[in-house]
Amino acid sequence: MIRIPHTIVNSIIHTARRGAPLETCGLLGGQGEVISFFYELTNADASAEHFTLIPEEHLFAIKDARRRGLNILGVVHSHPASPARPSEEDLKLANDPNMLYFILSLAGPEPVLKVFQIRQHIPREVPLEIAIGTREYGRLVLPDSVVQDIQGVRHQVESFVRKETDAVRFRAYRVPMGLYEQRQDGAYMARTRLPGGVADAHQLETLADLAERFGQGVLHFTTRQDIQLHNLAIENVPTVLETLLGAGLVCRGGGGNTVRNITGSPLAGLSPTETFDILPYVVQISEHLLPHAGSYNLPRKYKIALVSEIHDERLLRVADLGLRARLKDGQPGFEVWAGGGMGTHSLPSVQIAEFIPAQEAVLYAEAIKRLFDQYGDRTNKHRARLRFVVQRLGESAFKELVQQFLAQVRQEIKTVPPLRVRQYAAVGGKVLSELLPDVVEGVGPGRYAIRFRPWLGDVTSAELRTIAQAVKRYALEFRADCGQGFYLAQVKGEDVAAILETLKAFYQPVPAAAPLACTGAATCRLGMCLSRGLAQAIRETVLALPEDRQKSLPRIRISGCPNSCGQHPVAELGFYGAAKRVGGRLMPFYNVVVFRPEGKTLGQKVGDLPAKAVPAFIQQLESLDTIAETLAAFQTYPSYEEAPDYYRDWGQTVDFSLAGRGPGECGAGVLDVIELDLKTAENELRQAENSQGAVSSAALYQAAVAAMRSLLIIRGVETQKPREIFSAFQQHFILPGWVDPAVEKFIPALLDFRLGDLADLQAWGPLVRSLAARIRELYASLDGNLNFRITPLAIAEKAADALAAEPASDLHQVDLRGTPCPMNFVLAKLEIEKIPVGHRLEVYLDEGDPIKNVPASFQDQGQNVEKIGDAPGKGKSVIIRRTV
Amino acid sequence: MELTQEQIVRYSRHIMLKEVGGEGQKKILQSKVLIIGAGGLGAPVALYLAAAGVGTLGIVDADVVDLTNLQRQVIHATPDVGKPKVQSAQETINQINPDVKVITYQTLFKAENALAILGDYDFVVDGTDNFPAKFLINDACVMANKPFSHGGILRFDGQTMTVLPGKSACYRCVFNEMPPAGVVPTCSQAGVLGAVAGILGTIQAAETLKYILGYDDAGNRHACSLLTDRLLIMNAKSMQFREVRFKKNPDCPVCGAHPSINRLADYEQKACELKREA
Repeated sequence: MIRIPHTIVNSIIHTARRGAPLETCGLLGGQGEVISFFYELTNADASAEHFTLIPEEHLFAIKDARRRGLNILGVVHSHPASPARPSEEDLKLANDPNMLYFILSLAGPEPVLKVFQIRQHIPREVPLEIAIGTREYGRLVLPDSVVQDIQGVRHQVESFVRKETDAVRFRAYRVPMGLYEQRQDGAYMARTRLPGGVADAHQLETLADLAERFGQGVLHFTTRQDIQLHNLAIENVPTVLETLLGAGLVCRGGGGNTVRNITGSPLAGLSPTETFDILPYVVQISEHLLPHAGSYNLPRKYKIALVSEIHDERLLRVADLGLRARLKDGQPGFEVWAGGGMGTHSLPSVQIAEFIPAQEAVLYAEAIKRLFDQYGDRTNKHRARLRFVVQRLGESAFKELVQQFLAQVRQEIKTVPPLRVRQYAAVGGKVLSELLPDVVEGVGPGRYAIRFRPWLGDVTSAELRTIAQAVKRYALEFRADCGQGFYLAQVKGEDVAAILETLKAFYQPVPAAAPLACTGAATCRLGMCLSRGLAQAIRETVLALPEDRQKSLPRIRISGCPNSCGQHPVAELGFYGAAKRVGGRLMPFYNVVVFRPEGKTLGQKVGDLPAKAVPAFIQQLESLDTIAETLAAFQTYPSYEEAPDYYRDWGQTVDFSLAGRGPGECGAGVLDVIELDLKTAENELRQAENSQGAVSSAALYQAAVAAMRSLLIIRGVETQKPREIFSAFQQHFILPGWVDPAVEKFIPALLDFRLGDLADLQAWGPLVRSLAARIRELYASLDGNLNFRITPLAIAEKAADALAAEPASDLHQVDLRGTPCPMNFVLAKLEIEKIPVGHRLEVYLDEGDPIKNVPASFQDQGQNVEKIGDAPGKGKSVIIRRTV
Repeated sequence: MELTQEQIVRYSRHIMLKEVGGEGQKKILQSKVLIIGAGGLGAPVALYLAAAGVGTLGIVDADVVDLTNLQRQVIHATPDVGKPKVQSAQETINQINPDVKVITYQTLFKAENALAILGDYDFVVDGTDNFPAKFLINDACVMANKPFSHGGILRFDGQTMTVLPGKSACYRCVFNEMPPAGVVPTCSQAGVLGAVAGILGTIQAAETLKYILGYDDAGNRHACSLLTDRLLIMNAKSMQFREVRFKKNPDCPVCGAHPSINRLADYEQKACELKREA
């Protein structure tokens, strides 16, 4: 019984149909009785009745198969108009008794594939099984657990739709499944992971079909080799995921605190410039990590990148685990980097090992996962990524820990078979960019790879179908890249022109005219600036430049906020959104970042400028070496009266505002603006202290306005007008009891001062100071959902009133020193059940595990851990506020 | 009530759970559960509920321990052969947990004594092996408004569901009438893999504890939901679990809007043809 994957059968059929009425031919590689690779070869005869292989191609296939650890098991050719049985000619020429002769007939209504062994010119048909989901080169076999997880989606979704599951709990379920809610309510995005960027034509067609049926035809290529479906109604999500599963695609781990898609250099196995073919390792690591439930409940996301080409190395430094292909004494292996990542606080990874044998890559992936699982800070998701573990422990302690976990993993995983990889004796392939930009030499005689960059990664379902058809028609390999685009590889020289013509909408030979941008404030709650609008403006600017200037500019990467979704930390020229107050108004701004691939750090900020000045800046930018000088010319900002346009973001006709933006996950943008206002308030307060009379009063007034304004943004209020600030502050902060109620009496004084009816505010100095301090305290307590983690004063007071009979303090104590884990937690929990909700319990604990474990256990159970510290004479102490 | 030091230690792994805590453990200690049948299903149910500290366990069974029972009825041991099952179960429970008070009923669960036995129990577990008893338990529990857990096992198969009378579908909403005698064999005719009884029984015990803890609706803050309006069906050969969902039947003869069954009766169907002949 010979097994052949249905995808390969499809390729054979497509090749035959395309070649008809002439016969087409090829070779099939595999191991034992399983076919796993198809080499489409040229029929030198160009005949409708017979075929001959070209020796050069034949030899290439044999060598290539050997590099992949395969044997050539069969030869396949088509019978465009005759049945699927060997012809007289076929029998006469067949002289290898071990070879399998595959014949595809197109004579009937449906194609028929049969396979024969031919001994002494007598054919014997061999049973053939067309297998779905068998192992194929570069394709992972989905673990059963993942398949089952996806089969459970329908139940979870139905339960949510019936309102049996609340939105919060459903979110906790769906995000690790790769399902995100979009900014508009009720619309969902499904992120399909493509390990190494690999997808076949059938999978691309499936994605296109699903987008068309359920997602308004919208698809998006990400920066990590995923393809996203958008605008899905929740009711359709189960069908979408099940259909994807049927095509061998999954979204599991597409989001949330999971092992995310494992990326690889997109032309792995298809490029003569690579060190060796890393794709088998991408697959191996994926297959190892995907089945473990622990891979979906990490402190934060875990991104792994494998790199085998020089120009992808930037990705190595921003991955939680980066593996760079190396050869040592001819043996494949990896250089290991860990703890890199991009976000509001991007950090480059540190080197863990200079060289490890390639088969150990999976051990490192597992060890780092365990280390991260145990040491990642689950209490603060803004500091949860692996890079903060490195920062907290220090590089050398971190490296030691890696070795400890590695030793543990080695105990459990004794043998990992080395994978056979393609390996090139010398790195010497040439990029044929002098011929055509973005067309590079592929492997095999006369084969090329072409890079495509759909605008900002967006394609329609019809466009994706066109791509899929090209893959089929020209027998290409599709690979998503790490820059919102894709490659088509194994292009025959004579097909290059036709393919470029078919897909010209995506072919952008000027990198600078195809910026990479995050989704931006238009659809992202975190965003500050409309990054996509800027990308469009840059494109127009670049395309208007003379050709030599166009080529001299690098690809530009834009993030709408300090989060690095637009990959600005690894951009040769990057921008990230910000906001500045100019004359009391907010102006959309961008910070400019430059990354030197050879450097040891990530991109460094070189300055900033108004969003509206960016195109002019790019126009004038002669060279990255003189960027500071160019930037200096953009440091004066027009007033609102002179150029109101500067106060509006790209594509907007209304003034720039951050109202309604939330931090969601990180929210750095909004927090920056709050910080700015708070700093202003604190500076004004210092000014008030260091001055007298009218100057001091004016400073107090400014301090009060800035302090009151700062937090309004998280309540959706963004205004410059003092009267509006006061009334909104009254509504959102004074009445709910977040600040001292005495502030209410202060507002009339502020209004009087503004109108000139009151000249001296100095009597209010202490109140303004305590207000600013309280606002700072509230700000510091903001959690990821923009809620304050401290209790409003009013509630604290009411609780105190209600318990007037009790002692004034709401703080209860229990001494559990000497009680080991977990009994100390059990007893502390029984104590907290005795106190009213809102009260606090201080627990005295021993050092070591007790003070580590007990607060974490309370945190897990939804109680509020307010303080962990030393209790003089009583060991360690934790204060917990009972919230449930 | 206050937990004693010994109880705090004994139940610490419960108390640690967010969903239980000291308060939840007290609820368990104050709860009263009736187990009908001290056989394959009743045994694991009784063992786990006793260990969990259910304050009062009522056990109904008319039989004595037989050597053939020991392959699955893990609450009884070899020296118990010949003893009334309720007595054997009581002795085992007393050894496990002195907190548990056991009330024994060495009788068949019949129409005439059903409502009296149900009395003031909080929750009922059906651990019987025949259809007449299952239908009687369902009807009696619906009439007395007692929540209960239905369970059934045969060969490698098992099924269970939880019924909250008035709120969720009852056994008769799903199975209107019992099958004619002989159509469905019983365990003693067809055999049963002992561990299947354990799997099903422990599911029933977990449902009981969740009910006692107050998780009787989907809106509770711990997201516990009872096995209501769905029948969980398992097969130990393929080790697959599946659920059949259904709704309360408005025309149900016992819990519907216009019930046709208004009084309890002992239903006709021999539990075991072979046993009678033997």
